[in-house]
Amino acid sequence: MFGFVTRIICCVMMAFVILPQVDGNLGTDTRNKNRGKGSMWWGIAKAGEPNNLSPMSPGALYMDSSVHATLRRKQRRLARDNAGLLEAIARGANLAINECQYQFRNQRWNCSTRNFLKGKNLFGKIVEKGCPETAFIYAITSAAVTHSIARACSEGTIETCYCEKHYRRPQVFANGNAAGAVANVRDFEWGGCSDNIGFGFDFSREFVDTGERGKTLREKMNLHNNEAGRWHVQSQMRQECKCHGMSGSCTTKTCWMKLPSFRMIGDILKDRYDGATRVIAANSGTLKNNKARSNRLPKNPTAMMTNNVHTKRENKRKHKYGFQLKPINPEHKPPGMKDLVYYEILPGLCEKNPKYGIQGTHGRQCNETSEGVDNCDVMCCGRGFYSEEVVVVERCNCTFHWCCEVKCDVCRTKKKVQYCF
Amino acid sequence: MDFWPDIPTSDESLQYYFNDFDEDFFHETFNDIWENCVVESIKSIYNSLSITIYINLGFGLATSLGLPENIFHWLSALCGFYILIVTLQSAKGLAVIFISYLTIYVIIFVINTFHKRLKENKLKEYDRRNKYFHFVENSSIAQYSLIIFFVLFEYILLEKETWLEIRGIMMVFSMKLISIITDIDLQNFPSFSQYCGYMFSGSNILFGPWITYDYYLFLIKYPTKKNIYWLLGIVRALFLALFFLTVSNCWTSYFIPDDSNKLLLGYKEALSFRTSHYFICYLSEALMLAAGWKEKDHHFDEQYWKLSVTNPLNIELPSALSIVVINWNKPMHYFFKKYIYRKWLPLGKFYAIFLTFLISSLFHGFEIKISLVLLSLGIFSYLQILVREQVSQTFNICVKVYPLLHLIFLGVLMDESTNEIGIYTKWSNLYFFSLWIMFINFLIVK
Repeated sequence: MFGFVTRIICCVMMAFVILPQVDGNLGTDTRNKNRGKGSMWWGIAKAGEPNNLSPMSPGALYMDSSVHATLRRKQRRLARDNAGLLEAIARGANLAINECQYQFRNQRWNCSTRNFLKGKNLFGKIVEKGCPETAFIYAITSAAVTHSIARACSEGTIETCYCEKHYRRPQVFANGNAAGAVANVRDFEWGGCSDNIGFGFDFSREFVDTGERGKTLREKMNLHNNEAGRWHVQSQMRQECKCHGMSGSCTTKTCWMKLPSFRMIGDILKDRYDGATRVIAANSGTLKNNKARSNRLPKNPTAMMTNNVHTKRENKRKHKYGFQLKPINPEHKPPGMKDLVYYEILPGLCEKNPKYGIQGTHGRQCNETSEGVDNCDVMCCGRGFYSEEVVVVERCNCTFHWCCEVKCDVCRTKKKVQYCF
Repeated sequence: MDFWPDIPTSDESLQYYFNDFDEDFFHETFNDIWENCVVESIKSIYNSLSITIYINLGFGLATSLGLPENIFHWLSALCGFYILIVTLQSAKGLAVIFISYLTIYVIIFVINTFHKRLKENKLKEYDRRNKYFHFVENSSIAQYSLIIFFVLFEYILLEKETWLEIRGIMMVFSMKLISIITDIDLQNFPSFSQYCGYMFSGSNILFGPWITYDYYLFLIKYPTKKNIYWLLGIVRALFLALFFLTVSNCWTSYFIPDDSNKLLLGYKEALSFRTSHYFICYLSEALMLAAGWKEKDHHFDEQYWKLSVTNPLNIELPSALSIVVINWNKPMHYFFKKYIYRKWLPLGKFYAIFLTFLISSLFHGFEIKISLVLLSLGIFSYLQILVREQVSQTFNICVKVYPLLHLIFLGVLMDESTNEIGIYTKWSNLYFFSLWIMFINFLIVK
């Protein structure tokens, strides 16, 4: 009853207060209306910062006018119809930023949101380009939203989650268990309120993909990367099985599901980023298998093989706009569902470029001895670096005391830290 | 554009916020574990084992009426057949079990008649070749060669999964076989129905525990009365079984997350293995109680319904490794002591221990990791006892040691990932600390 009343209030609020503002806002910005608008929702990461003193009630975020400015009409409708969805998406957006910054901590571009201006895009205009970093941003945000909606569903904070009973999924085993001893689990039926991940997947698609219509190469690329992010979350939701029997034999086994930690998904997407495919637009006439399929894992495992990753609705559009993504090097395989795609490379990540929200590498910490991308020569783009001595406090001289305690001293050591000029 | 709230935009404050944020977001919540793991594990085990439990309850109720002997044996065997067919997933494994159970009977029957005839007809010759026949009469060689033959046969012939599935069943089988051959004398050779009833007994064919042939027959003469204590006893055992199952599957990884230190992770793997073992033990206790067997000393106590297979408390908080070995699986320990160790004791203590170890690892299908664990357990506990005696004598005090570290060290091997990354890696992850402790023990003794 209370929820119903809040909902009505929300609607009224929206009709009288918010919409005029939003429309006015959009009106002033007609030229660039669609560029990057689909990803404006990332801004809600910063809008709904939960306050420790007063925990937000469901709907509070929804009524936040700043949130509405960033959402498209369809996204607002989704948020209105599903209480708790926006909070989950806000959490997901934060998760994505956090993970992105973790994954890129040693790279020239460090996923900074420092340039974030109110009403502008969270990561800066880099998201309007088609470079690998853009691909990663899209994939990680879409994955994070899927993950956090699934989590919210299992916690019960989104009330409109449904449960799909007896939902079969292909078995993915953790660490290839027991030398295949569990490979023939006969007809294991996953019977719980299980499809939270599926719900997260569908909702993420509805919400995140809004505004990307697949009309241009850039939009097509974004859709592909969004889908790839979701795919990795879903494929990592895995069934784990364990054998039980006398002295480690496998007379009977039990199975359960496990939602992966988001760090794991971040690691996978980073790998995909490192091996992202550069694509160009190709006429769809050249490709025979033009049947778009839903790539929800269990329904259609073969869909993984095709590079058609979009929904049916988009498929219709595909005929309209009629092109496909094709690798720029014709000898490469066409990008699959799991791959990230891009079509251009930003020339300089070394220098500060406020236009694209690129911080440059001036003053970044680097590592003289590293052989990776955080090596000073690489990181500083040849500009050179300077060293500073800092005092590091760490544990040392650890000794083991019987039993079972490890005692350490606190040591202060001087350490050289390098920074780029 | 002015409706953005004032928010911190510097990276530092955001970083603080994010770090705060990911604490609860990167690990599965209690709710997740409950819904995705606990409930699912219990459902999963219910689906596969509910029939087994019902069948044993039915068998228990039927036997309390006091069945004639033959019917008792055949009913017991039929229950076992059916449980095997329902539970086992590989048809090949099932076939191997049936064939080996039946051919073994034929073989021991032939040996027995041959033996009997020799004894009756050629007494003189028998005396002359006494040495040889004594060998056969103890039937040691016969038993062990049979078991070696079967284990090797299965190990080479079957795929790894199939073997892993039926190994537990074959272990119980081997124990029953050795005890039945040792216990019977020439005249009381078990009939085919007796053999089938004992070997296929539905209550312990899957998970043990091993019971003596005598106690199997005991129930026919003195059937136990089924009352409310009987039901409570079963419920208690099942509850404990499910508790340990959820600890093994879910709670260990909930309380010890994947980014803990190596020692904790090792403890987690070992704990998960041990609790899985307790689960099996309590499940087997429940099945035995359901079918009507309980501890022999309390057979006529109508209010006592327990059959102690393992003792988790003594294993989790052990005062010596030997206590762990004894309490790990009590019936099995009793079996090894009675039928293997004592038998070889005349050869000397060292040989007896060594042979017991050898046969024990034979029962486990000569799997390297298990053999290594068994060998280490044997040596560790032997050294520990020696050290303890020495220290007690020197300082004239009672010494207690807590071999928890050893348990972690050995337990990590039992995890399924060992097959992939290898024993050496597993142990080097823990810096071989048990081996160092053992080495120090050894030096003290010397």
